[in-house]
Parts: sequence; C-alpha cells; structure tokens
Amino acid sequence: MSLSSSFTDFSLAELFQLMDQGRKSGCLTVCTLPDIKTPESRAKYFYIWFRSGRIVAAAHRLNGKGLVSKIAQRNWIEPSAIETVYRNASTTTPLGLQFKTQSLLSAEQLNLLFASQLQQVRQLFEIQKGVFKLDCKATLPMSEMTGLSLSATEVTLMALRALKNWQALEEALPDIKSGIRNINQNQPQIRLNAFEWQIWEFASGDISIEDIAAQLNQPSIKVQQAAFRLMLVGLMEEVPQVTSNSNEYHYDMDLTWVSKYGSRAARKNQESQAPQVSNSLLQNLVGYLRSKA
Amino acid sequence: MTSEILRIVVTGGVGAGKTTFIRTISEIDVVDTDKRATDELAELKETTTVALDFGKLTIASNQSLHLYGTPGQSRFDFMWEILIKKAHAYILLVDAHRPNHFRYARKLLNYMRHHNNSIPALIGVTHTDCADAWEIEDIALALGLQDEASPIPLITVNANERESVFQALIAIVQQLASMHSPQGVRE
Repeated sequence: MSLSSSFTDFSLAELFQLMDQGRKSGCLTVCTLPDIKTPESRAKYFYIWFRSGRIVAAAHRLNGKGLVSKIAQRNWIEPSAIETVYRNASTTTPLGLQFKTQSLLSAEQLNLLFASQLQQVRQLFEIQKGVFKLDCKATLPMSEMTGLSLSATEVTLMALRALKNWQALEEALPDIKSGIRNINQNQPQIRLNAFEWQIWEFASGDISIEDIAAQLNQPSIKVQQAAFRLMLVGLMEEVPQVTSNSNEYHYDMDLTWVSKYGSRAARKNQESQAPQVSNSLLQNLVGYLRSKA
Repeated sequence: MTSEILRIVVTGGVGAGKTTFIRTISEIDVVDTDKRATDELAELKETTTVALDFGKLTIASNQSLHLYGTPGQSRFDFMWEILIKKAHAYILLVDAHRPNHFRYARKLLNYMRHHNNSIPALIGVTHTDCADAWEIEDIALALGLQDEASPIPLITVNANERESVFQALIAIVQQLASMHSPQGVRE
C-alpha cells in the first residue's frame, strides 16, 4: 500500500494537512505533469522531506547539492570553503548547522536559505496537474537540511493566503450551501488574520457559507477560501446542509415499499428520534450474526 | 406482541460497495431503485442508487434488522436526513483506492455527526486489496479522525463476502449494546 494520488483527486493542501496531523516522516515526491498543449513541456520533479509532520528540506534534485548550490548562488562563502565543508560534512547533522557551527553562515542566513526552500514548496500550490508519492522509509538528507523546520500546516496556511489561482482547489472548497462547524473548543493557537477570525466566529454549523458571505458583505468565494484554510489547520469542519426537499427532484421517489417492510422512514412528519431498542434485540442480533458469520 | 426493528444506515460514496454490502446478506431481494446513470457517473458505475437500497434480516418473529443504503450522489442529501433521524447506527463505507472520494466521505461523516452524534458509527474500508489502496491509518487522517477522545472504529470490509459483512454488523451492534443504558432498555 502507498500514499500516492494525483492533485486532482487529493490536493496538496489536504495532503499537507494529513502529513502534519499524522506526524508523517519521509520524502514526498511531487511530479508536475507536462502541458500537452506545449510540445517542449516536460514533467518536473520536486522533493520535500518531512520529519514528524514538519518540513525540514526541499529540493529540485536528489543529488544532495541543492543547499550548497543556494549558498554558492548568494556568494556568502568562498567556493573552496563550501567544497571543503561539503566534502567533510557529518552525516548526522544538517549541513546548514555545520556551516553555522564553523561561523561560515549566520542564523539569519540559514533562515533565508530555509525560506528559499519553502518558497519553492509554496509555488507547488499553483500546480494544476500533478501526482505525488510519499516514501516513508526515505532517510533524511542532511546535505539539504538547514536544521530549521516548519509544520506542513503552517506552510499550507501561508501558501493559501498568497495563492492567486484557486482553480486546482475548486473541488476541495466547502460548498456555499454548507455550514462550518468549530471543532476546536479552545482559542486557535495559530495566528489568524482578521478575516479568518470573522469566519471563525460564524462556525456554529448551522449558517451556510453564502449566508455568512451576505452578512459580511463579502463574495462567497472569499469566505469559502478562508473557511478552507481554517479547515486545513484543524479549526473547523464543513457540515453539509439539507437545502432542498424531495419535491424539487424529478426522480420518482416512491418510498411506499419501505413502509411495506415496517419502516416509516418515508413519512415526513415523524418523531425526530429513532425508538429505543431492547437489550433482547441486540443480544439476539449479535447471536444471530455470529451464527451466520 | 410489539415488533422491534433495528435500523442501520449504510452510506458512502459512489462505488464504495453500499448496495453490494446490503445485497450480500439480505434475506429478501434488495429493494433498490438503481437506475441507469445518465451523467458523468456512467463511466464509473453503470447504475447508481438514486433513492435508497433496503435489505432485511429477520431475527425472531417480532425482531428484525433493516439496512438502508443511501444514494451515492450528493444531490440526494435530503434522503440522508430522513434516514439518519430514524437510524440506530450507521456504517460509512470508504473505497481505499479512490482518494478522490475521501473528501465526500468526510463531508458525509461531518453531516452525520452534526445531525445525530448520539448513535454509533463504523467506517468500513473497502477495496483494500487494490494495488493503489491507501493504508487505513492514512484514510483515517484523510477523514479527519485523528486525536479523538472516542474515535470511530475503522475496519476492513469486503462487501462481497458474507462473513466480512456480518463481522462489520457484529462490530456496530456490539458498539450499540455497549452504549445502551439500562434506563433506556425496553424489555
């Protein structure tokens, strides 16, 4: 069994939520599919390494030289010094930390290098078509690591706040007819922006997104996007609402056959709860099922 | 003598195995309203349940189990409301090799929990033998079931096998029995 799919079926945002909540480790390979309308377009690969749900490194290649390449591009260190540290690097300590230990890089420079890796990750959220696969057994590449990490959820939140093209996530957004329900009894630990706070205040589960949008005088899509972000950070869930009745449907919904077998499920004006069943029924049923299993 | 009926709703996305689940163990020919799918679902499944499936097991002269399979299409969501209000428990079937259905399954789960959180639930993971099937623990995460005080159990279900279906039913009926308070028992 594997953890693999296409972004059409399971978005990168949802995948990052899963990685974070599942405290996943390993190497995530992302492959962007070539554009069939552009002949010279080719598949591109990108690799992201996770430790316990946190992103620790990202690179375009697997040769272990992505980080030193970034350092060299910035002319922060003499090429010969880079080569010496790289050649003699420990295999148990992130390479970025080794440069810092030797006073060749500052903490600020390490932050900038890690931010550059994360920027590449954030760009992946713009991908319209691609596939992914997680290798949970992959070892972490010390040569690509700065020693810094950030939770996948926080990366997602930052990426989605800046995302311009939401086309790839259209199917993942909560429906405008749905409500949103707060699933976190405590105040959010993650830093929300003012609009996200406003949406969070409406998370009772009974007010539809389109009604929230109307009350806030905002476009529904903006509320959908903010609600989606709050869903991904584990603060709320989408609750589908029943917005129509059977009369609006054109199918022949004759449920009288249900009554024939003793059910009253098709009747509209019933008591709201199912009647209690006796222990006798439950015990007899378990016995019956066991005898058949 | 008053007749007693235990009602279990079997829900899930298109192709998860709801109709098969009920058909595998029902003592009556499953009453279904399968009609030929006319939209994009036609490629996935030749027919799809547009109303609901109904199956039955008679336990004693006055005791029976009724199984109700929900439609696989979200536009029939009003039917969930009718069913979930009358249900004693529900089983959510999730197809392990169709990640594109996890989102819908999660919505169904949220709907059920929001509208009737007091009844037992079971998640039956189907098609686990497919090459690209996800691990059960990853499916649980995709459904938003992490770190819960009272997590919903997930088990593997083969909707074509009687034993597997019976095991799923035993699991949920036992859950129901364990929740049953003496005050609520009608002997």
